[in-house]
Amino acid sequence: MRRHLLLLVVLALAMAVATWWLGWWSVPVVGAAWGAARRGEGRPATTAGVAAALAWVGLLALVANRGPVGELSRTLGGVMEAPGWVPLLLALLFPALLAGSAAALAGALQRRGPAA
Amino acid sequence: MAARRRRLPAGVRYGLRIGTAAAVLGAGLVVGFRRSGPLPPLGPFLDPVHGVWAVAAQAEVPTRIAVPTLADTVRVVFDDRAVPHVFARNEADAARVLGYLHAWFRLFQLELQTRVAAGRLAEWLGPSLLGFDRQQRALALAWSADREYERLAPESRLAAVLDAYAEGVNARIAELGPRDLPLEYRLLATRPAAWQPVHTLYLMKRMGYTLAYLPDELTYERLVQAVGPAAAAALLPVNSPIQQPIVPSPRTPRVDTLILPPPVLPLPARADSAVAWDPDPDRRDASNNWVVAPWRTADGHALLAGDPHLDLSLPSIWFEAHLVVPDTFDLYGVTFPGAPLVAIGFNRNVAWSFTNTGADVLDFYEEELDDPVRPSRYRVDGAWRPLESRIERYRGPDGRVLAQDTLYVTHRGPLRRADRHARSMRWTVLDAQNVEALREAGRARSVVEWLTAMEGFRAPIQNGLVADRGGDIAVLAAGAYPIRPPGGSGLSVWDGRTSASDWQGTLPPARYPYARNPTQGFLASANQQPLDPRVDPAYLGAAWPSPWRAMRINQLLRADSSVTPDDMRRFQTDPGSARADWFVPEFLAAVEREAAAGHASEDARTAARLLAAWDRRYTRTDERAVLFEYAMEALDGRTWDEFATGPARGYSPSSTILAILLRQPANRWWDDRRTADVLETRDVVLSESLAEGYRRAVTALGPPDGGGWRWDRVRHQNIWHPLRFRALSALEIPVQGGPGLLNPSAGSGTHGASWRMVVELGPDVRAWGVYPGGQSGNPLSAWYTDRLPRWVAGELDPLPFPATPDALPADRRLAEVVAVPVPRGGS
Repeated sequence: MRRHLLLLVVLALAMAVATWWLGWWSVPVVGAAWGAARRGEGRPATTAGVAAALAWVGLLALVANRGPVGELSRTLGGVMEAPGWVPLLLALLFPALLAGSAAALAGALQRRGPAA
Repeated sequence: MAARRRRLPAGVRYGLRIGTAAAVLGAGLVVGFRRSGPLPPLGPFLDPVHGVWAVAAQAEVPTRIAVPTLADTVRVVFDDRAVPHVFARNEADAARVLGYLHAWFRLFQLELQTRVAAGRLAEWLGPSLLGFDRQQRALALAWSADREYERLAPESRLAAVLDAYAEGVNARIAELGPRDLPLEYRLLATRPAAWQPVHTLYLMKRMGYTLAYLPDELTYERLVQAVGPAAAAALLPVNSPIQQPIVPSPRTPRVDTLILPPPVLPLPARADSAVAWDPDPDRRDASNNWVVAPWRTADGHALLAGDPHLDLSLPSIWFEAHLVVPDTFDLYGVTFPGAPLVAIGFNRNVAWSFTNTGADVLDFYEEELDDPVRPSRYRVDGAWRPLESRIERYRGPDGRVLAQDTLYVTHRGPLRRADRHARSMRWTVLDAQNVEALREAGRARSVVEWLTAMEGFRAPIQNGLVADRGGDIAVLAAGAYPIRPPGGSGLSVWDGRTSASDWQGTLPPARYPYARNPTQGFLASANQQPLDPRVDPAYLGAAWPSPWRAMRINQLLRADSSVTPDDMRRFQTDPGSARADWFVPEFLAAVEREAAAGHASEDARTAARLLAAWDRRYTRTDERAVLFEYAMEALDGRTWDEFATGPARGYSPSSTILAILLRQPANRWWDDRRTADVLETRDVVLSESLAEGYRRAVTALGPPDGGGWRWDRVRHQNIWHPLRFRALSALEIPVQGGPGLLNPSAGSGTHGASWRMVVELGPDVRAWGVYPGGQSGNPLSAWYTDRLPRWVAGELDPLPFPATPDALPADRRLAEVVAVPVPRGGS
């Protein structure tokens, strides 16, 4: 369990660093690498999804330290004519789905077919 | 027995797993990289480092200013209202830093305004804006700006300033990293384009359109079709029947005789071809300004107040700035983001403000073309002349060409074709506007110097009120007034086949409406007819806005011979109404007469009792103004029912015409055309309108004293973000104001005082001001709407006016930035 948590944190950190340096598209790339590397072990797709969400939560927390992220979310929600928490939720779901699906896809392809 | 779950074959499960993952990933990547309907690409948008969230962490004011072309060091001190005080050593550097600051605070607005004038909104917002773009380009604003810029001598001071300003704007654009992009660019998934010097002229042309595109001849043409030429001429009179001119005239205010000839009936059957009217006729751009001579003020110093009324927006159309270049200028006021000039403001000696004159500076000409579909020539004096043409291509956000038009231009101006007509337009705004005159006026050291500088101003014609520390006050309605051929009317469409129809020049400055140090000790303008036609009958325009605001401010100033700056401030949101003073007694008298004759309804008598108790003040807690306004709307509808259908469908004559009609109780205009056998008179219509207004108020708002009639629950200002996002706008703001008041609020409530300023010209110039909004265009900034509460309350902020950077009091100092020349590629 502890090892699993440690891996999750390491993966989240990797995704945060990749996002910082390369941009949002690096999240599915890291997720795919994770899925390929951890194929057949536990649930790499779930781990990748959670790690991506955690990574972006952490980065948003850094931004929030320097400005009103909650207020911005409310404003964006207003622009989208949706509740103010929707943009923040989107900011977590989006990387989670990208990383999770990329990990799942990479893991499945690594097995090279149903018999693998 | 539970059914045994059938397990899918491994191959199918594998296929499903891989298919689902691929579908989710594919969908995620598609919405990540590409627009989805109104949504921007979600990847770069939601990115927590480089995406929209970075807007939350953007600085409130610049911490460094790097303009590669600066010639010298510039000190910029921000006061506690985020107003920059720019201390430069030369004029070009001041323009560079102002350009940089405009871009820093208002970049999206800067570009948006230019795109509006250029008719290039569809490139940002898609095909739904194509119609708007076509209208704008047909006006040839960009065409004329390009032409004006090409003709500008490269060595001229204006060219140098426009170039310097563009360098400042572009310096900011060049340094924009992914985290610095304003919110709107992220929502539209676009990046700012480079700023060209000519874009400033685009903005000035667009202001010209806002203030001086008054095609009254088209209105007149439809009215002629609807009610005949005699009635049409009376509905759009050349001279206001209620005279309270800007240039003081003896025995005014004065009511002149104006008989409204009856409409020609039956109406021509052209209703379906009619173009819908502006649904908000009271919106016509307006403004107030007034000056008081020292001998009428409490402290013995000249006082000036100004509040230009425009479409309100968030961010505001204005950006406050203080620009200092030693021995050249030291001026404070409001600037347009996009232009290197202080439009309204003051310097160490002089203060000035503008209202729109609304003169007739536009004419249409019916042209004869060689080919109605693909013309190449037009005929003048029997000879064919070549048409100038320019291809206009309209693109969408993806760069695809949505449509293409050809803009044709005669020697008069752009040509428009519709309904078998080919009409060219002559319009002073399309000529050189000479904004340099405004810049020159900002350097004036006295009223006389200011007036001299403004004589060169061309368009849009403005009523400039000015005062100086020496105690002089003056007004000059400056700009190019066309001289038309004798016998012609500015309200008719001219025959383009003859050069005899062309303008013969413009009035010399000596003929501009002007007054200086009048014996009454004050001057006031509120868009009313500038000259009393009994003093000077020259045709300057027609269909002047109702003079209610002018009458009210004259009344207030006449009654006060010891005016203070705070009086000036109070007057700007004065709740009194000359319009209500005129109409309320008429309603009451009509109901009384109808009641005496046994005709007044119970509702009319109840409404009259309520209205009689009203003090005619539109305060926010007032509970009777709504009854009056509803009654006025009913009166408008019942009186002008001739315009319910037909070519002038939706038209509503000004309330001045209605006021004059009140003096003609049996005029046929009072007849309600829905009642075929009855000829209504004034009293019947007034009485029934009041009853209708009462019933509407009770139905919509409840009983009169139930609290629902409070004015602040009915009348609101709505200040929209240009992209019409409610979340970025300030809506349903209660105000102390109303139709025809000094603080106007009518129709959709999108129009109002865009800047309020009071200046006292004593030994040291003192000034106060406010606009609805704040300095920043960032909706997350503390300075996006910080001034709004004080604007709503009618309060003004003291404006610090330091002579040196260090003279700004410490308790009002927010930050200081020293802008230094930075070599290209440096940091």
